[in-house]
Amino acid sequence: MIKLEHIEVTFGTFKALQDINIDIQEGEFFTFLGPSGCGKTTTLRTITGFISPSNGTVSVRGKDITNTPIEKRNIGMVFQSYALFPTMTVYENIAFGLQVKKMNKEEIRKKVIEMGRKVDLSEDQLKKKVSELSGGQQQRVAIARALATNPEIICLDEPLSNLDAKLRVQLRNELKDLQKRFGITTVYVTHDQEEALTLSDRIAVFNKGVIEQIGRPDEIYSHSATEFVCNFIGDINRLGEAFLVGTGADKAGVDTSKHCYIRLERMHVNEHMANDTLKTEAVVEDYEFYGLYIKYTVRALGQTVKVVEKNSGKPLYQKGDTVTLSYNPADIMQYEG
Amino acid sequence: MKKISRRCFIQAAALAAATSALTACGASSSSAQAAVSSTSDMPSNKGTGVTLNIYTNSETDGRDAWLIERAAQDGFSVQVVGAGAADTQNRLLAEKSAPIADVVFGLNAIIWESLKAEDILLPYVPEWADEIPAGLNDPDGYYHAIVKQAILLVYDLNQMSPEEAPKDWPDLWTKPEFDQKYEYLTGLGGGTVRNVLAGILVRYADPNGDLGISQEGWDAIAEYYKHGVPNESGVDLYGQIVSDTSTVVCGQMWSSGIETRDEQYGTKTGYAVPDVGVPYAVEGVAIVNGTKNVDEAKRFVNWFGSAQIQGEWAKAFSTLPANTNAVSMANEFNQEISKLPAQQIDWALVAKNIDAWCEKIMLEYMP
Amino acid sequence: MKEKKISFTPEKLWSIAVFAFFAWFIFSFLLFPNLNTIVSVFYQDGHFTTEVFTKLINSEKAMRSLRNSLILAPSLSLTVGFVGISLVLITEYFDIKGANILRLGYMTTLIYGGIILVSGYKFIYGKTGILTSLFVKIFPNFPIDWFEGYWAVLFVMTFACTSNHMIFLRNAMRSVDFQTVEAAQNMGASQFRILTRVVFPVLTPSLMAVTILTFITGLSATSAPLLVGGRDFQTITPMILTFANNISSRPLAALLALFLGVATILLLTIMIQIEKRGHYMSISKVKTTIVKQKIRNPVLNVLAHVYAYFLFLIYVVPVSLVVLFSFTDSATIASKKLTLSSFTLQNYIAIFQKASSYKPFMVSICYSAIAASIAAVIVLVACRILQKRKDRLSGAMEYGLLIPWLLPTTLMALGLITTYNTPRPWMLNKVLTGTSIIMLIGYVIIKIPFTLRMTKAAFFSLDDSLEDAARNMGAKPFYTFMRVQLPIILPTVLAIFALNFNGLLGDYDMSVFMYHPLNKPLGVYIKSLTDSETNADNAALTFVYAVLMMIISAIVMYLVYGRGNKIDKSKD
Repeated sequence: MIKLEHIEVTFGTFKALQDINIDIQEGEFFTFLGPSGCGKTTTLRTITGFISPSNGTVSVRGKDITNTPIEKRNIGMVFQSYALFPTMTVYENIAFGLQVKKMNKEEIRKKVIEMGRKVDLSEDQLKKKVSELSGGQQQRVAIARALATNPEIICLDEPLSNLDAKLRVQLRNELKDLQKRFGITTVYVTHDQEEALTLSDRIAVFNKGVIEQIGRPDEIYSHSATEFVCNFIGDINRLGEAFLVGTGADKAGVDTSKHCYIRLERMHVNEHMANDTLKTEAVVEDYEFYGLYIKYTVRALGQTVKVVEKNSGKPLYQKGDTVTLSYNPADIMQYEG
Repeated sequence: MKKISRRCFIQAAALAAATSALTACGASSSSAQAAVSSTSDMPSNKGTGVTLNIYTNSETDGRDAWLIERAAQDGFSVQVVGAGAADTQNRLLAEKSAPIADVVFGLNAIIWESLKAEDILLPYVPEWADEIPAGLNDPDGYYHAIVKQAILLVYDLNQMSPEEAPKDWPDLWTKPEFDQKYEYLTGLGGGTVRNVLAGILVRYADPNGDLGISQEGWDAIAEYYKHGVPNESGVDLYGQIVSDTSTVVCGQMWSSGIETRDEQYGTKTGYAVPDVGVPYAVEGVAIVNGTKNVDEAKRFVNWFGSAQIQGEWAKAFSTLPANTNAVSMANEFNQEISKLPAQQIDWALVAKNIDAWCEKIMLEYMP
Repeated sequence: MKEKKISFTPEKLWSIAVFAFFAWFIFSFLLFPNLNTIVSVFYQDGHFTTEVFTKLINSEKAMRSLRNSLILAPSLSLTVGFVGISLVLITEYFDIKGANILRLGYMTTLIYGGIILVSGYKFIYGKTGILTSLFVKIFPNFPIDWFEGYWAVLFVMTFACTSNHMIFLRNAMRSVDFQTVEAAQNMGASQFRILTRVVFPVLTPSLMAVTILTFITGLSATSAPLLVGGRDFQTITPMILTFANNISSRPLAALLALFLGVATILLLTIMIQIEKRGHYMSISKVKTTIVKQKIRNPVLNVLAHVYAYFLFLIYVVPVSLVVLFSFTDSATIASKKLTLSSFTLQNYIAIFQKASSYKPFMVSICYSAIAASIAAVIVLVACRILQKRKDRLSGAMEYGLLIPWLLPTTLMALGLITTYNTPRPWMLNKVLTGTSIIMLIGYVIIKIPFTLRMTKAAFFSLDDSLEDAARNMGAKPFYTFMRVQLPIILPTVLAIFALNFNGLLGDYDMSVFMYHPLNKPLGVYIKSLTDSETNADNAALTFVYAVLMMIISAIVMYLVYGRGNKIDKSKD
């Protein structure tokens, strides 16, 4: 539905985006993920029209909108700061886009109340000044405002970054829920990989103005295309050559001269899985108990390795205990140095 | 939000109304001028109702209101624009290529000379020109005298006898008893102060000296400022004379202001009568070059300088008319003033140099 | 970030038109007339000369006055800064009893100034002043002219020039994120440390802006040195005014003005550099407003209260006396001895009976309101350009609009009338001198630099994403500006409008050269009434007009700023 082709953006001599190609499907929840300064927001702003690319085209449903003015694109947007108009009430904020479209008053009223209901804002709350709302309520206003004009696409620029952890998780769920309810194509920008993994249908991982990988969350997690992606997403162990050789990975087809990584939950402590062909003795150095799982830090073959074990009710291994560490060589992700 | 937008609207409306009001005023007056200026009667001294803009520095003490009302009785419609002498001069100069004023009166010989030199006046000899004593009118017919004003060194007879008082300006800085006893003005833009300075400086005229004045003259000026007391903004000379806290007992004053001040401050003014005579500031009247209402302006000048009107003016404002036929209308005090000997002053020399003199004084002598 | 510039013809045409307007405006009203004046300094009779320069350098008085001005400006910046900050702390930060009344007292400078204010002070401290007389009674040898010279000027001006602090610095204080204060408290910081390390840094941008204004006021001080400077402390502006009125001495005036201009440029450059170094902006999303801080040390607390009320007296007594004595006659004003019988309504009756005496009020109100509005609109457009584009062209525009800060009002007025007394092609060959428009132009341009400096600050604190959001919802740039951005900065714009209006209401310096004969403005009217060459009951009349102007100013302040404040508050 949204197609970015060979997008290039330069600020002065700085190339902010290079050859960005993305094809977002109808109804898809698509996330741009990456560290700050990677170009994800720039890409989003190219879609909404705040930035015009120096090269390439943006099209929606096959129609080239690269040069369409911002106000004519019909793409909703939720800003990082929400950008709610402080001088207006909640009602006026949501009605703003409708008034711009010169809808009649009664229609606007209906629409605003309907939008309010969809995002759980009561009519009383609609009368309030935006500054009187809590962070979560403000976010819902921002979403209602962005969706009020029935855009084809909604863009969200780090909408959860200003919230505390608990609220973030709660709103994350609400967001997903809302997206499903509205069934709208969503482009989401975040630097939080957990947010990206839980929310998205597909993710584009950005780094230094280029896309490192596009894929489903599980693909990106388990089959990171680049060393950057594998490092950026989730926790990971880098396995040194000594460890690899010591566990016999070199003989199992792993090229030990490459940079080799393995996810924490793909290693096991005293828990020999069917395909765990490689193993070694290790000494427990420390552990963190999370309830649902336990994260062990163990030392083996001259390096520390982190391992996550599901909490199966077994007694925990204590500091100094010697355990067997095992893994499947197929779970190793290898990258050229 | 609604409130704000309504207020914006009201502001905008008020703005629009006010703008149109301003322009409407300008428009109506100019169209009136255009309508009447085509009817050109022979100049006489009755007005036709064409609005005349009159510039003057002599509009204070209700003179402007009196003039507007009295002129209206004789068919003149006048607008009086009052400002200080120097400001009036500056305005006339600035508006040279697009004059607004039709007639200007008041001022003093120094300024009249400079206006004449700047080609700002239109020569016209009014009907009453012959009634003015010789030497007061411009021989070339650019401006003509209406009021004589003696520029005097005054003191309070209640505080000082004529014997103790200074006899002439140089007494102030040559006699130790007047040290810090007289006031000088820190601003040099006024007509009176310039006449005083001219009256002092012309005594030392020397074509070879700096700005036409000998070194002796400049030394005298230096002494004048050294021994005097600067005026205090907001307090006039008489306020200083009667004040307990001020050392000032004498200073400069123009003759027609004396009576009202005596009344206000309870003083009894005495004045020095120097042997060289006293400077007379001659207020005049002239037509502004470029006026669109030449005929009406001529009628006004004829009317205003006439013995009748100048007589009434003298009565109302205690002035000393220049018109010999009106002198009898002046009060006793002014009759007395009219007998004072006039100081011989080369006005052309003064007019040519007064700005430079003032500049030099400001830069070098004023403490 | 390079924002979207859509290459649409209407939009481009529009922006070209706006730039053309500014180029024309700056050239014809700010640059050309003043350049004309400046060139006259060095080119006389068609050749280059440094004669004027030599004249000034050799004049002891000129150099002394210049030195005095250059001493006054920085010392005033310091004292006003100190007093201004303490006013803001007293009214907004510390828990001082009666802060609301104190605030009203401190705000009296918003409604009166200039000669009247200095006269009010002289009423108390002058030779025959109330306080002086009291001292003389107690200590017979007390010098009656104690209130004269540098310290007197500094004293009067210190308290006269805190208006901007009471508006802009106070606003800044109110927008301090209180959580940062709480955080600092939580980390065990002392009250003093919190003030200096947490609160003041946030105030710095506003403080610098008002300091620039104070500095410029100090440089161009007129009334205070004239009235209380005495023989030893005269400053440069009165001299400039004298020379400006003397046609052949205008180059001197222009050169003296240039000296001041250079000092101003120097200061502006330094300030801009400092500004570049650090930008302090609140980064908090959920602000909490200030909770007044109780001073914990009891001794300091008492001292602070004493100080606050002492300042209150300094502010309020002069203005009260002006109001009180406006109901008496000149004799009473001179003797300063009040009895019940000395009160009269005669002054007021006299003014209201004559139509001619209140027409000037109407004229000045109209002109000031229109001029302040136009200045506000022009500056809003300019600020928008400055916000959107940061290239050389917009930089040049900003400096161009600041030109009126570099020259005294009188010179600008003269520049305008002498430039436009002949047809100029870029003015469609219309002669402006003598029309009712030219004074309006004059009023507008003298208020532009201040308006620009203050509006710009408000503009740049706007969240850019607000505009993006509105555009994103389909609003055109102009609509966005009117509906979203303007309402947010409106309180500031209105406050500036009110200050400009009040400043222009009694203007004399500009008006005297430019007013249309049919529309005599208030300042000129009052001056003609109260000229020392008039022998009417002038002292009383001056006070009456002053009081009437205070009433108008207070009403405007209330309507515009008082209500603007409410908008501001409800936002918090």
